[in-house]
Amino acid sequence: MSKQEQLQHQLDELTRALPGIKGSFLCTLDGMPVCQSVTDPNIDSARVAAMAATALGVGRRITDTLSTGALRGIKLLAGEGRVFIYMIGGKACLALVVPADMAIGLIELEVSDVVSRLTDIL
Amino acid sequence: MTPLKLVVSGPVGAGKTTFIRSISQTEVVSTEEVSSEEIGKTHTTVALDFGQIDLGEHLLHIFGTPGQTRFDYMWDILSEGALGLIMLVPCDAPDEFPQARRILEYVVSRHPVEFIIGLTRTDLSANGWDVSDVAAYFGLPEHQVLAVDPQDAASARRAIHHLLQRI
Repeated sequence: MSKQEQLQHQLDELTRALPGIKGSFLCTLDGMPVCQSVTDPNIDSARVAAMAATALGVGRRITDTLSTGALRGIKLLAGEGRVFIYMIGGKACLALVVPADMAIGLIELEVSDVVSRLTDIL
Repeated sequence: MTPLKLVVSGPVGAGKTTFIRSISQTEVVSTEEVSSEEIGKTHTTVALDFGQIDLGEHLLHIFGTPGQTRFDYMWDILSEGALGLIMLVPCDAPDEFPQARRILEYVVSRHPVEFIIGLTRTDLSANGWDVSDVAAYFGLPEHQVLAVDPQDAASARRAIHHLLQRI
């Protein structure tokens, strides 16, 4: 399998493991989409990639300023949905868009495995 | 003292981050990441730059934007409440002029800001566009366009003063 196919496979597996997820997006830290698995057609993956980069960029400035160590991720909690953005090594990030009622424990369990596998592939 | 807010924008490689680093009197807050595209440099701004200048009667807050259209929401966010805009345009990259025009129209159609065009890289290229060419391209009077060296604090400061005279 090519690297792209391996990455895509990981995201597709995540979609299967988390029923109800709206999308998972692997992006570069400068805001370019790499691959995605999307179930909500209203979500623009190019937009998600750019905004994930912006959020992590600001987040990294904050954690640097407060000397809280290397940033691992960001969580956005909103009325009807949640957005989780995780660092993947030093070059990429994974953004997940999920409904607000999805069990966070399940997400964390699945994601920790996917984050390490994506890091290995990249 | 209420700070005055100015925005520095322009296409990729125009010198926005360098400009703010040259003139800020406080440590600049930057959000640079390694670029995965070929853009003529290694890093690119993904959120903002922020610097400050104390002019005595005024405190200036200077915000720099990313240059790429995928970050256009930051052009909007950072221009909210701004009094003025310096649009940096690299004189030797005319293929970036449409992007400069796109940013300018995007910002000016949403926020009532005074602006000037700062023509950069004029020292690096003998056959770049000059002030009158660029003024004609943007349909502006020549006094709204001036050459700026973002690496030179005095030059960057002149651009700020030029903009403040219009506000």
